[in-house]
Formats: sequence, structure tokens, C-alpha cells
Amino acid sequence: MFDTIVIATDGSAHGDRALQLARTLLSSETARLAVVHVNELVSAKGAVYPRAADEDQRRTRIAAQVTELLDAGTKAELLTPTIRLGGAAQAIADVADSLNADLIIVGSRGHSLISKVVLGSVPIRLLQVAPCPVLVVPLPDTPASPAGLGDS
Amino acid sequence: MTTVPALIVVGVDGTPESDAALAFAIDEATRSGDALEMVTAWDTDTSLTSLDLVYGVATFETEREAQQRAERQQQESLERVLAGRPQSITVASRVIRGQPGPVLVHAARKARLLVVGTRALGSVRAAILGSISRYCAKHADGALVVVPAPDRSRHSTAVGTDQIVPAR
Repeated sequence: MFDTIVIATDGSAHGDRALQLARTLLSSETARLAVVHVNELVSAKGAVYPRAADEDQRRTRIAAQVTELLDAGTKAELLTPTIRLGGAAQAIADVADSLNADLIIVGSRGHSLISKVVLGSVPIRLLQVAPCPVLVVPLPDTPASPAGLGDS
Repeated sequence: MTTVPALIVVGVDGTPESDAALAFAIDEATRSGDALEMVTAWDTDTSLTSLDLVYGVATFETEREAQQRAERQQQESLERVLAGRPQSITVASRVIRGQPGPVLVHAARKARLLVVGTRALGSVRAAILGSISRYCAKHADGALVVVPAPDRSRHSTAVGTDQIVPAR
């Protein structure tokens, strides 16, 4: 049913849950899974910096997840569009548009670095601009593994 | 091993947007084998317009009328969406009194997925997300799928003609 799925991840441990759900939606009919990590840059003091302080760890984590998907036989690819601060949702929507995606999966906390945020600005904005259905995966407050989404 | 089938809940309110959501939910339920439940919220429509006040006439519908209207609307939505689709699928129906956001979130508390449409106007960059889909996004416990309005979706969700996903 889903030929192309875009999964937006910020590389945090919480993003893992969204990826787990993505895997349950994959089928032999899914041609490809595009893992999108937006490289959001902040301009400060004459230089540009990544938005998250631990950006390197996040990248490493995502790369490892993509490798794992490829090893399992999934046609996964990693895309890291680079944008200025604040355009993450639109960048994800643009990727989905260009790939003719059937579904975008995003964690509820989006790119928020604040643990108390229930629904981040990125998922909200994505719901407004996405060219296809958006699946918002609830993310737990703590890194502990939450109850399953109905799967045994 | 789980013996309880997983559940998909879809919000239906008779609009083209909810038709698109219903189409998605039917396709997903067919794919996954999960049970599918349509949920429609209703309340009595009690309105006193200024004109009514002048003429001393109040327009209101009884609870029974409001509930029946909701049931009818839900059934019509299902018929519209199923027309021209290959699936034959059993769809449960719930018509619940209350505000749509809280009704949907409560109905979906044990669901694997809650599916709703949105009236977000995609062509306008400062789009306003539909208040119901925003409420669901903030309060739903489980995963939520927001299906874009038919005029924004690239997949031509015209009910009864194209399917929401590329045809195979």
C-alpha cells in the first residue's frame, strides 16, 4: 500500500520509536523508505552551527539505523537537506513532494529539544503543509520503552 | 501473542476531508487486517439568530433528530467512500454525543491508529490547521494520521474515482 514512506527523524533516542513503527508499515510493496534528517543551521557570531549541540551523535545514530535497515533488505536511503533555522517542516514536506511519498511519519515531539513539549512545532507545521497523509507517533516522556501500539 | 485485533478509529463528519480520512482508514484496515471503527460526534444544533428573535421563533432540533442526522451522515459517508472501491470491509459505527476532538480522542484510547482529515488550506502558507485535527494531535494517546484535504493531496482523493494511494 505504501510505495514510498518518508520518516523524519531528529536523531534522538525518541526518534527510534517512530522508526520502529515505520518498519511495521513496510511491506514488499514498499519501494523505498526515505529517512530524512534535516540539517538545521543557526547563524551566530559569523559562523554557522547545527541546531543541536550533540548533532554529531545524532548523525551517527541515524546512519547506523539506515545501515541496519539496508542490511535487513529495506530500500532505505538517508537524506539530509540543509536549511536555515525554522524551515524543517517545509523541508520535510518538500522531500515528500519530490519523492511522491505516500506517507510521512514524524514523532510528536519533532525537533524539540525541550522534553516537556507534547507536540512540537515541526509536526504541527508538517500537518499543515504536507502533500500526503502524516502519521504522528506519540513519543514518551522518558527514554524508557513505552507500551506498544497494539502490536504484541 | 495478542488475541485482541488491533483497532483503527476514523473521525467521520460528512465533509470531503473526512471522506479522504475514511478512504485512508479503509485502505489501511484492509492492508493490516485491523478492525475499523467510524466515530461521529454530534450535539443538538440550537441556534437563535437575530431574525429568529425578531419573529419569536427558535430553531432547535431534538436530541433524537441530531443523533439520527449524525447516523445518516456517517452512513452516507461510508457509502460514498466505498462506492467504486474494491474492498468489502466490515466497519463498526459509533455515534457519540459531544465535541469532536474529545470524542475522537476518547474513542481512540485503545486504538492503534486514529485517522482524521483536516481543513488546513495548503495553498496558503500561513495555513490554519483544523481545530479538531490539532486537538487530536495534542491529546491522542496513540498514533495519529492526519490526511490532507483533497485539494491539497497529491494523490487525488476524489472519492469514488481515484484511490488515495497509487493504484496497482
